[in-house]
Amino acid sequence: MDFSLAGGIIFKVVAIFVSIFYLIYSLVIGKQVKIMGRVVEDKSNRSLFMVSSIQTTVALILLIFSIFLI
Amino acid sequence: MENNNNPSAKALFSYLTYPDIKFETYEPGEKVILLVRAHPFTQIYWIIYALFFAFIIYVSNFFIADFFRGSQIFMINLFGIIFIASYVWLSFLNWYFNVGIVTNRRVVDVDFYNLLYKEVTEARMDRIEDVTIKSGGYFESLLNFGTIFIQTAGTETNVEFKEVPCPSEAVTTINQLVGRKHGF
Repeated sequence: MDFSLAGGIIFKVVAIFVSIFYLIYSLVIGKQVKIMGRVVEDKSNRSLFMVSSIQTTVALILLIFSIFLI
Repeated sequence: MENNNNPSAKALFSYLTYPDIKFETYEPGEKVILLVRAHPFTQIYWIIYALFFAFIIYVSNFFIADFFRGSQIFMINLFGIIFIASYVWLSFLNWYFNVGIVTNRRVVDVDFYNLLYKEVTEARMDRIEDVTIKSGGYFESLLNFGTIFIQTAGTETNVEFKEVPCPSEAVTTINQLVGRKHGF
């Protein structure tokens, strides 16, 4: 059995799982930021929502990289 | 005091007077006089942790180069950077949304625990009995921050503003508002 191939597959599976968990985590954080934004309404809350959206986008990119790059 | 409506910020926006904000249980006609967060110095620990993790990732590159392919090393670094960025973001949100609010009618303490658990405690000015400051230690004295305890009458929950800047100024403001409610 080719161990480098097996190692590569294991790495890919782990990377995909971590990426999926990170995507779920980023969605939860995004939702929480919205909830917190309602508790304390501030002018800068829009910037916080934007950063949360960037986090979710990064999580998606990470998932795509995990599937196609490695 | 209420005639001076110029907003001002101290200690990196952790002590704001007359801020332009609203909160969940805001009542019409209510005026927000003070908003406090933990002093930025108390948040230094997570910045140090983040730098330490970044250093660990940097150093680990020298050891993992022999075991992984280029694309795998890239992904490991990407995961590491994203982990650090998420940790910093989460810690920042924890600091930003844990606030103490003083209005002309009440004091409100908003606490989020790990972002998922919310606790909002409030005390009406006419129910406040005693306001005390706990400030001790080298950095607290040097940077002028401390914890404010607001004791309420009866069985109502006490309110606590943890490690806020300029605690004596905040207490003076609260005492003036309490004095007005009690007719002093």
